[in-house]
Amino acid sequence: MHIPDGYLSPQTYIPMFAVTGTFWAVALRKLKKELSVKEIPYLTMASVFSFLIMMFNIPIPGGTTGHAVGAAIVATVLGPWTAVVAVSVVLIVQAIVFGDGGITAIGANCFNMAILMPFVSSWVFRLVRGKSSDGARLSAAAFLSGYAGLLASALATAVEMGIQPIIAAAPDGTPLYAPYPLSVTIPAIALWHMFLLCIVEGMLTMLLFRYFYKHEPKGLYWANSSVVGGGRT
Amino acid sequence: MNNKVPSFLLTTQPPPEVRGARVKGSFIDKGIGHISKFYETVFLQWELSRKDGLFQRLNARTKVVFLVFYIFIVSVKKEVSSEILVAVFIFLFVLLSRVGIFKFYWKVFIAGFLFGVLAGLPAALNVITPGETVYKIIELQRARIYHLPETITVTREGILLVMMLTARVVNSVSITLLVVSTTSFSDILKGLRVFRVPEYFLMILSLSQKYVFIFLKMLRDMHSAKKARLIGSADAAGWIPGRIAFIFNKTQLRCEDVNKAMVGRGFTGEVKLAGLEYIKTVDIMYGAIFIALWMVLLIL
Repeated sequence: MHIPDGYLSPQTYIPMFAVTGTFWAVALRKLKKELSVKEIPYLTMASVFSFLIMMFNIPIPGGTTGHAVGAAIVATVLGPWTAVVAVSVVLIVQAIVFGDGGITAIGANCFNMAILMPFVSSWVFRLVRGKSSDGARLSAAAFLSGYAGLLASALATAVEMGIQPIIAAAPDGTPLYAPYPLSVTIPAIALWHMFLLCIVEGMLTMLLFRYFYKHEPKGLYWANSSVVGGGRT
Repeated sequence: MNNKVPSFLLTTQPPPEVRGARVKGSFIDKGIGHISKFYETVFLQWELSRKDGLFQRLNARTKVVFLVFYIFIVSVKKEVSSEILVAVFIFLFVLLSRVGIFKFYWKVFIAGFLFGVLAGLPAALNVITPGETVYKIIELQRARIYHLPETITVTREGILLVMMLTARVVNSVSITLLVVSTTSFSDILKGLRVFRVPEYFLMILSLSQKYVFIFLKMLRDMHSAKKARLIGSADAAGWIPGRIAFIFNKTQLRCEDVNKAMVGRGFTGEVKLAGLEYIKTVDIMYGAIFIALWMVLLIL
């Protein structure tokens, strides 16, 4: 889901940098206010945790493996604003060191996976959980938060790619960047995610959530209002 | 006489499945393999950045400006000929930077093939890009089925589009790889100061990359310890969440340690990145050359 260089037009990647940059600034200001001098080590370790989640590859049908984005579980455990910075740091390191995702697409990739995904996951988790503390409902909330978060992220990617033939075409109508229209990108990306990758993300989020809920309930963001940004998503 | 050999030593573990020249391990093994790849990539970049070449001699800020400006020019060009011109300049810089040309372009062309040719190939057909027919592939029995044209063809406009996409991917990857191969990660971060990226954000990036090494080693040790102690397959569904939760606890504890160490050394919240090199004459000279070339490319 990392968009490479060459697929997004400047009309898309420049505004995406502006939007993502605004979120980064708000997240850093918010976290700095609440954590003071603890901000740097806290966000560093959150980023490390996020990076390590992505290192666990899970087998998927077809003989290949995939890794979870992990933004949903990071948002559930540490809060969505922390997830914004932590997952962004990981995506920037991945783009620079491994070439996973393009340099021009950092803004768009961070928006999809480090902004949209944690917030959608948090909203879905809160919506499904309600005021219940029942284990089964919480597990369902965790699964759906991972599932919906990744699906939202995948749809955003599909839209960003699919609008390229509309907003950046030659005078004769030939696309100049990502060539596939929305009618191709949305089904192609969304179906693959709906029936496979989102389920993997949901399962991993649920398994991790259950483990934390059983062994470290006080460490969970939603369970402890003193945790950064607690209860203010 | 009773057999006193413990039962777990009597159970035999099936040998790893062999497919061709590769031994198929568990998916956890593959994940641990990625960790080794991470070490290897970072180490190779660090080693290449210490070679004596054109880009290695330049200040990180000059290279970061080069990266951003040239990636931008690659993204705005709309003709294959302009992209080829950019590729020629990059090739010269790669040669002068002595980064191992075959390995370098092997990586670049793999990315170009995957994200340019392979991903863009269907766009060469008239289904996606209508235009002048170059090659007729198939004539459909039932016309206009699923909104498809009666004849599926490769179009001239489609081929140009795939070439353009591939050239753009190849150029973007080669520019990024050139800078990344000739600059250490910490220097790239320092170079980002030129675009007014907040220092404390750069410090988080820098510390994260360093601590990732420490925790990856811990993860690898945990996996080795598990493999050495357990005979047969372990419950992966239980092991992975358990280890991730363990790492989470460790990161929280390390957070406290790092915070105490920083405060103990006089940290008050104000971040100042150390070791930023001064801009030298050679940086100004090459900076001027890069900007002049950039302007020529922009006009062409």
